[in-house]
Amino acid sequence: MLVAGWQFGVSGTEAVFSDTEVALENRIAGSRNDCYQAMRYCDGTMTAYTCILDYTKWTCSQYYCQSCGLEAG
Amino acid sequence: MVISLSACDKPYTNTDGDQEILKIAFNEVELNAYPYKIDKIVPLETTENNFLSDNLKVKITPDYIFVFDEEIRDAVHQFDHSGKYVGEIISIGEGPGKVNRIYDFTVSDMGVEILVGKGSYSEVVVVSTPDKRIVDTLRLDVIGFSFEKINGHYFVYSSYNYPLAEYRVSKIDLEGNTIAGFLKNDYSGKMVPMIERNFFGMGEKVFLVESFNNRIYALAQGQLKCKYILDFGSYNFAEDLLERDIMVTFEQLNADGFFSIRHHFENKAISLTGVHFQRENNSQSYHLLMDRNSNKLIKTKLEEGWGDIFKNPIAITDSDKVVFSAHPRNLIRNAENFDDNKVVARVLNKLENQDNPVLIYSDLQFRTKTNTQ
Repeated sequence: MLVAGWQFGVSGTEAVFSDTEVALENRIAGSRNDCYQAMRYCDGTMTAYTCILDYTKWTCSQYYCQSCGLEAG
Repeated sequence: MVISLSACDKPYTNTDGDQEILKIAFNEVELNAYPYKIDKIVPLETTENNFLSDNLKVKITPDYIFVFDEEIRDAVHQFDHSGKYVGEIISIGEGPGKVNRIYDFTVSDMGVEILVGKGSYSEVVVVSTPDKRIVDTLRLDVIGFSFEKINGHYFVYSSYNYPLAEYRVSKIDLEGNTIAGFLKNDYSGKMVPMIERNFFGMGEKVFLVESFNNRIYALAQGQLKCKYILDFGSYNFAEDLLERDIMVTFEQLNADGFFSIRHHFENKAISLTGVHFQRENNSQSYHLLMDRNSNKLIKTKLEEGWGDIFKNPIAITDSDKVVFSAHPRNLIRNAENFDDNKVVARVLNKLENQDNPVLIYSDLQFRTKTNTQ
């Protein structure tokens, strides 16, 4: 389900995380194995991402998540 | 003790111990159509390798203007006060003299200090301004997204990162030790970290705002203290918001509409608070302005067009100029609003749509309800 104000995004170029970083971010975001929940301001609009691969990336994604399931979240 | 003032355009005053808190009923504040009069424009020089969006974090010091593009987030740039490009302070990348993620920056007597993301922790990297050389690196024991340095201490914002971050704001000494925490993450819901800019201002006037909170905090005497509460009436956040799963709650919040405080700048005479209302795909930005001598309040609705020029405030100077960053295309597109302003006319003659942003220094007009440019 894609709701207004929500986006399902991942970043275009992904950082490689160490196991520690991934574990920490799983704790932070309570997310699935390969992506993370996150919130950002995108063009001034608060946006909730149900699945973003690079949690630490600040900017908004232009790409849809391919690996996590668009319907999930 | 609560002191209630009868006029709608002034705040109520609450006291919490020895702390005075001003409570402002946002909907009751008088609407002023056009409070800014442009006094000076500084175009930031465009070069082959310093393209900037208009979403800038800017620190103005007596000698230089330091700029970090919050969209691109690739470097901190240095300009002089005429807008001439001096060079890059630091940029992202691999290898010596580079950092991998820039989250924030500030300027101190040490030079330009950069908050760098390292995954499971953060670092402060200090760059000497004259020779652009990294002179110190300090590992912090928290993950931070926004920071400021005051009186020899760092204040680092870690967001709603429970259980990883016990406090959303940590006070850290120059050895990297956390010595105090503020805004405890003691909720039981699943909040998701909102990465945003939280600290605004410089020197003795630094303020903090955050998402899902209608309070504005001041950093004073080494403490974080609530200074203002904005009352949005029926749009105030539910008291148990932090106890809920925000990924579920946000859908309803977005459908009903909600206000966010996006920035706050203040000097001895005036203050500016950016307020944003969001509902579904629609949004509206406001500026709440206060004459701090009289506590008189006005607000302005940033209409599409002229409002685009003033939507990104970056500072209030000691001479009471409110400074904005604006993209040249917005200034060019709205030129008819400034027909009688010679400052604007002179700059428009030299500007092109693709140039870097300009810094607009404006005077505040509290009593004018129409455009007097």
